[in-house]
Amino acid sequence: MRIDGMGVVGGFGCGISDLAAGMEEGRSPAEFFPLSTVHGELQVPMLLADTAVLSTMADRRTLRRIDHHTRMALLACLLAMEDAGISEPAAESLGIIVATGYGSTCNTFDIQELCPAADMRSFSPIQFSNSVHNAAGAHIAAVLRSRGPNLSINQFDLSIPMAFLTAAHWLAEGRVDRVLVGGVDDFARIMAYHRHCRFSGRQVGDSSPAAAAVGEGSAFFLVSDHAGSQDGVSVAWAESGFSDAPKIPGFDLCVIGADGFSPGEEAYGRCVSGPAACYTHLYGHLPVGMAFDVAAAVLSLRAERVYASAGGGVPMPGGPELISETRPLESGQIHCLKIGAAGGYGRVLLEKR
Amino acid sequence: MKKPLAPVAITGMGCLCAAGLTVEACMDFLFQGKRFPARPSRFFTDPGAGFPVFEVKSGFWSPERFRSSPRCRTVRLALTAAHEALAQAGLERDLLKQKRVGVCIGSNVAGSVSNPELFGPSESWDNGYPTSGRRFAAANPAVGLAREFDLTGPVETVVTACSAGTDAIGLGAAWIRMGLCDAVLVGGADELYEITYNGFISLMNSDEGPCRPFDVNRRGLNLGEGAAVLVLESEELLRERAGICRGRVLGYGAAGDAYHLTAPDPDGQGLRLALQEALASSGIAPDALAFINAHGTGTADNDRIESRVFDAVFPKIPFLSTKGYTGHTLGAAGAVEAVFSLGCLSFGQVPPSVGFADPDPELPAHPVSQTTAVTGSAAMSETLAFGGNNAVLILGKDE
Repeated sequence: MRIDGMGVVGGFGCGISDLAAGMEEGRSPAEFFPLSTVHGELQVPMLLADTAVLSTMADRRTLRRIDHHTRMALLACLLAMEDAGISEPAAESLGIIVATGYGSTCNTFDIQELCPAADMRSFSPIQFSNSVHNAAGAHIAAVLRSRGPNLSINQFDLSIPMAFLTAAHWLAEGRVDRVLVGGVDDFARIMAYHRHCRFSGRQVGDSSPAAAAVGEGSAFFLVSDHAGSQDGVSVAWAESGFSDAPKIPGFDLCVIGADGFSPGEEAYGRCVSGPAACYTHLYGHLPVGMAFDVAAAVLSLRAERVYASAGGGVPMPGGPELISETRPLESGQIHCLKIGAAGGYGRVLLEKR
Repeated sequence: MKKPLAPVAITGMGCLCAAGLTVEACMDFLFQGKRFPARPSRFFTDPGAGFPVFEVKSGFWSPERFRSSPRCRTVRLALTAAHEALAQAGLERDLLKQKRVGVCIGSNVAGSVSNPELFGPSESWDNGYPTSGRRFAAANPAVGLAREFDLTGPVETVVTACSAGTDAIGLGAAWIRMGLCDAVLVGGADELYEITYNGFISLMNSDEGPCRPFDVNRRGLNLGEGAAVLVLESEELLRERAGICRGRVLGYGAAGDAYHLTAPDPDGQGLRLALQEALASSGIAPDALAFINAHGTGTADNDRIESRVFDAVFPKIPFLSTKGYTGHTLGAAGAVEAVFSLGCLSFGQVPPSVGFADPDPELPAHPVSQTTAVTGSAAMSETLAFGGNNAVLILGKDE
């Protein structure tokens, strides 16, 4: 399936030009922010997304009841449509697939913290509604007036390959002509505390793929059946399995999703023997981070360049050797690989035709 | 949808909910016309508040059946349903390991941070920082099934709220048709959960008494809990092991309302589109359906829209709601009701829509109020969800 357009928002900025600039620059845009904990306020690195531009792209009245989680996803969708040059999708022939690892964490945390008060009946129905995992998909459909199939997937860090796989099936079975497929995750305060506990006492830079800052953001892709297409970047293959990851052919570039948070990340070293790149320093740790790896791979294929990895190729213990300098892309294919924190793997293969 | 898709074989079913702990027990219960809603027993509620629920009977969990020992109730529910389904299918653990078997499960509560097992409130953070992946796995029914049965295929949790179980079956059927898997465990699982319980009350969508789907006095839903798992198999595997086909997924359709986060489109446009896709993909004409298992939650808007659409598209087809027996099991509902639909097709009759007593004069079509004989080999099971998700299955008995 052909990628007709993509939109991204995250700690690196908003839009593919900001992501491309971040890849050129090669350093992490993470900034330190205060995090309130039971131990007091901590300063931890974060990669946060700014969605202010959305108010110029969508009706403000529509946005009133939409939380940050959905705003990120909606913004990425609108940017993907813009990148594809499409303003009004056909209502019934556009499918929407939203992958999320956390769902709307801020909302849900706020609701959960009401539990001890035993007064949950007083919480806001809007807040409850927005905590339901398909809220982002519902809002996107309403804004785009899309009445096609609308799916939300929650398979933690393997949600993205399952989303691409499903999009391919929908197109192959003729259910829709196009699919907006992507992922979104909120900043998770608890994971920032996790990172602080795990990494703050160690000498690791924020650009290391072994200790990414906690991030948030969204990346969406407008895909269509590429039959008859003469050029462009396509998703040639998407898969996920609850088994060991396959060996990646040594001559192809592999973008890996190592961020230091998953047990067994050294498995990247076992299945990637050729050139590897990692860009988690740009978008941070978040379950749907693989969506940004796919976006980075698309930019690489479009520019026919391989961008330097995190921190200029800071070594990752047990991992593959990371590309340290930007250079021409030698192959027309790029693999994106994620080793699942709960087991299993996901792989998306992109190619330029 | 251009043409009908290949049917997919169902070789095993498992189900537990307030109506019973096995498929057979549930089907027996439905035809007794009884129900036992009660106050939630596992979390605090105001004693005078009402809002009964349908809980799964205690003691459903039999740890000796399983190698894993999950703490999460939703995972236990899913494992129990899967155990029954695999036993009926006759699929042994050794064979499951050798084949490409996937899992596609709909859930609501098990959706990541919704579950307090995964991330508690910040006061508890001091009790050791979490490893999110491990906690996700511990609370996720799809991962729970994959781990228990050493499955190596794709694993997916569908979180389209109340239509998740229906969507999971439709998506899993595609995995078989596309050659991705030899078999797929599909279905839904959800435990009763404090946040959803209070959330529906805050939305003023819960009935303070037992729910009354399609009744003039309906005031909302009752929440329930449960799980249902179906085994879908490729024709190749079915032939190879001489398995028994017990039904088929004939069609699936899904469409969005693009209207409102919690209120359905008053014209039912999304539901109509989902129905059209499901019928087209099955190749079944609307008048060939034996019956419709409606979503029928007992909320004013949901029942009104379903009644209007049924009257317009299926004017002579009997329909029922089983929510009065089970409560609304959210992410499990589509799967539980798919199993009920297959059971009713097999029996050649549908049970009364318990809770329905006085027809609403504003509704053009009404559900069956007594046990009703049905003819035909295909039935429709449909679900409407938060976010305007509509999902429809056409299910057939094997003939």
